[in-house]
Amino acid sequence: MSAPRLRRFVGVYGAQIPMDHPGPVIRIRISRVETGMTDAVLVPYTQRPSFVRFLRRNAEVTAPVQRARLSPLEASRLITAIAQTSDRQAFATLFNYFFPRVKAYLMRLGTPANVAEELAQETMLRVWRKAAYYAPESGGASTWVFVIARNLRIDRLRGEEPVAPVALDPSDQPNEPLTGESAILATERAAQMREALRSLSVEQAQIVRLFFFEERPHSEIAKLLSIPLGTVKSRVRLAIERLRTQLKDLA
Amino acid sequence: MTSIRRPDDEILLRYAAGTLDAGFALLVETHLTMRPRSREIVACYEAIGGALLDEIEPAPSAPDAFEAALAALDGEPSARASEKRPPTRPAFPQGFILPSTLESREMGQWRWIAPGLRSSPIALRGASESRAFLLEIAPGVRIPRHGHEGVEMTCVLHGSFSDGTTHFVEGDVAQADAGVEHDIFVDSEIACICLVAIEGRTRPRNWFGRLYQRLVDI
Repeated sequence: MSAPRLRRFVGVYGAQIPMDHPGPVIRIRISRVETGMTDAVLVPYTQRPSFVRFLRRNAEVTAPVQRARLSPLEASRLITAIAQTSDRQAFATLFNYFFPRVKAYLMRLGTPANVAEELAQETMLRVWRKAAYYAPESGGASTWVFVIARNLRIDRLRGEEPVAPVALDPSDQPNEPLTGESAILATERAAQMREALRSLSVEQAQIVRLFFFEERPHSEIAKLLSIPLGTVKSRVRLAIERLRTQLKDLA
Repeated sequence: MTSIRRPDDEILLRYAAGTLDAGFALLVETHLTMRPRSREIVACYEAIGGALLDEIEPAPSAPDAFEAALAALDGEPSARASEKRPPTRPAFPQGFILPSTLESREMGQWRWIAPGLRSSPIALRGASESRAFLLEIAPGVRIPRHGHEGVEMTCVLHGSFSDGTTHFVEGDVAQADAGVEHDIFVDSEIACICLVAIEGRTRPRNWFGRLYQRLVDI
């Protein structure tokens, strides 16, 4: 009876709470029937009783957790500190924040734990080595780290040789030291994006997450969520329209 | 529809997410080198990835992970003296600049498909549902109406073409979704070279299309 559990598991994605959720949260571990992998999600304490009953039956509920936080502005400052003074303390802070997140992101996409660990490690090494090439105005630290991890994963999937760590792209130019202005701009864009994500309905947000966490065509997403293919397509369209209206300057 | 002359937002979102199939991803990447505007849109979608990274539940990791990273920092980065032979590629006309995204790709020699029409397959690494190839179309040549079982995207690298309603120039992308039928007419004085990514098979409506499909499907 793997199908119903998997469907419900995916439903939990939609319940994942935004970072600044004020109330208490619980961490829920759910083993993914399909791959045998264990995944964890955070959900607010208050949930519909039926949902909570389902979780009790299907998941191991652990204690409330405290979230580590790293503000976008602080993250940008730390990367600049690495670029300018090879600051290892700054690297340690970034590592503690990003390494477990990158690993979790890679595992969501089906990367085995040991490979995810290795790729997360490589991601962090690139953060160190490419710190001088960080362009804060292009979306902030989290976006930069996400793109590094995303590309490493794709290279691994396609069996491409990893680029030699020091062989930087000759077209890359080291960036000017971070000015207060560009850091603020990056923070704004990141905040804007978070705002846009939050404005989506639960169903729309779930679809957008599936784009990032599942390599599946629409037809399979439809099966996974037990909704018709047409509904998947219209949700995708609505979610994207919504995101675009939020990001007016890109219309 | 196709008049935006770039891949639609869903394709760009998938590209930003890193879950777009290899052939299409190569095409989008190539298009991005030529269109700063599309790069901005992709950057916005990449910011969603950043936001998701912020809100994801961190995975437990090995206690010595950070020590291992420090050790790797101290170790000499292995400078690889890679003496790769240059990848094979077909002969290009004078004035043609191969986009940087295609520089390292293995390509086949030009294969004759029909008068004024040649193609060159591009090797994609890893599993891929989509295929990519270069298509060279001589000036004045028309590719007859054809439909698609899946999405077909065409990025103009050199010259220009028209699909009857829209004029596509270098950097532009024509996207034809499943079920859409279109034809293509090269209206530039020079041969038009396009990068094409396709999933599924084309649905030809005549002998010309069948020939096109047979060669393209290799």
